[in-house]
Amino acid sequence: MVNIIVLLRAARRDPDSDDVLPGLGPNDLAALRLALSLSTARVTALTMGTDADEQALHQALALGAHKALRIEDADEGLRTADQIAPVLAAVFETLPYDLLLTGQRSADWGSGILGASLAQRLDIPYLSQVSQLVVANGNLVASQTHGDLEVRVTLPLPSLLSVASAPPSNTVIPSAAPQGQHAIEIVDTDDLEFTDASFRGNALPRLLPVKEGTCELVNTPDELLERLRELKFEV
Amino acid sequence: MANILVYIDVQGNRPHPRSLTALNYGRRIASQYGATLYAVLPCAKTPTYGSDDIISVVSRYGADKALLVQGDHLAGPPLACTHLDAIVACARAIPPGLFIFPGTTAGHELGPAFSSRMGSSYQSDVSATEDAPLELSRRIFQGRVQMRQEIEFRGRPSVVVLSATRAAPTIVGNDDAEVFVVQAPLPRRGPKQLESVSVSAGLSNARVVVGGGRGLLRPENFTLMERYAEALGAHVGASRGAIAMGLCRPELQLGIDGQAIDADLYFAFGISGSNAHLAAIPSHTTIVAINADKNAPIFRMAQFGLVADAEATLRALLKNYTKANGVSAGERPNG
Repeated sequence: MVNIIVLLRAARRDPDSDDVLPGLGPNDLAALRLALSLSTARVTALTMGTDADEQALHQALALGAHKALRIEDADEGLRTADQIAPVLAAVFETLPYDLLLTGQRSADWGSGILGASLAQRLDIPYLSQVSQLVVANGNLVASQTHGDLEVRVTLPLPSLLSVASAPPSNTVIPSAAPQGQHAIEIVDTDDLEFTDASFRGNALPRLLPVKEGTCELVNTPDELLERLRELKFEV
Repeated sequence: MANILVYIDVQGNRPHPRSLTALNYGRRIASQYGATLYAVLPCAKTPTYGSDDIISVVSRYGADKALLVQGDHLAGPPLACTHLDAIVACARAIPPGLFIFPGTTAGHELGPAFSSRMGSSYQSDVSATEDAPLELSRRIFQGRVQMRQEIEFRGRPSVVVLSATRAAPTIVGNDDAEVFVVQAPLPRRGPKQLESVSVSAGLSNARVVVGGGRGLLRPENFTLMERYAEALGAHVGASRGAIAMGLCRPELQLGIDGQAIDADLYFAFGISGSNAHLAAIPSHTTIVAINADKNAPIFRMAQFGLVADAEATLRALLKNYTKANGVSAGERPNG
């Protein structure tokens, strides 16, 4: 049995746009699907946030995850990968795992650095933009696409993979698992040993107004093609 | 900021065009701030010299110096587990104020890993403004919010991965880049096995995707759309609504309960643009929305919009294709 933990980003309300994104981002969903496609896997879904952020975990359980964990985070604001990675690293000091999966990008910041940052802290092998996965004999074989080349990489367990896509599936995602079927376990950060991370970037991000209304309306198909060709699209 | 390093993604002995665009970008900053621009070239053996060798190419696109990092293990595809230690060795030899990675698979593999190893500031999928190259912008929240950041230099290097731009690189220099060689250390923890196989591009890695929704109304119109996609060399996707109407196969579904794409360009014909559908479209994708309903949510996310009937638009686009290429859609110009 391979013990896989899938890290799900609890998408949150954006403070400037008041916009809310779905519980499971597309890359997180792909990571979950890859994990659940392995017949020998025991899959734990994990997220960090408040109880308002549990939708992603409910969806994961509904899709077939065996267990769900939420790392309690009283702060309702936006967390960056810099802040999340040390907390997760502390959690994985106490939590057994063979393989960690993240979505390549979260549905909010989408910087794609959490996986690399966490792998660095845990000192385990890392591969990004994974689209296929096989686990056997203590190793994993993961695929990453470079143009028209598919690279198949064999890595030891434990490793961390950031997943970009999964083979197509016709599964319809329920909004939540049937009530009472699964409970979400809470991990209290007070019980963890980690040093608080500060924003590492030199410039704190400044959110500008929502992009709505920036669509350039054209009047005819020919005008549309003309504009796209100006941008060097071959249409 | 004395040094700017640009990682060159080499594919088939040629730099990926986005690497050359990254060099162009580095050149702008280097010229403005008096920095030296290095092209970091991973190689298994010394490149051959000639009129169009890779060192001449990176020189023409702006590099002052070529930093060859050599090691037998660098012959394969650029992965963190094979190439990261080599890139770190480059940064130790030539400490960068700024390390630029191209918006390619390699850039998105190595940029975050390098930043995490070095404890650098990190910004991904960024585009620079024309007038102020250190002012970067990127879209977050699935493209709903535009974020601006400025690169500042306070001791630690900044790492950026550029967006997957389609801007063509331009020649800005001569063939006279000075060459430095760094021996790549063996990776601390290389892969147990590495295998590369040729694959045909699928929907998830297609550069252009044409998607259809309920607004196509009939299967014949979906077929019309497939003809246009074929003419463009694009892949075909669909909204959940189109599948529910029986317009196409379920495996074409894009969205949170279907496939995600990573395209440069996405045509959405008759797709309203639910959150669940748009979740499959990354923020760097140029979305073109064609919908008869001017209030369709997709227009809030699209870069270009045409309020029109999807079928009529497809017929006009196919006609335009035939006129421009001298053949009907479905017959490629080169046979």
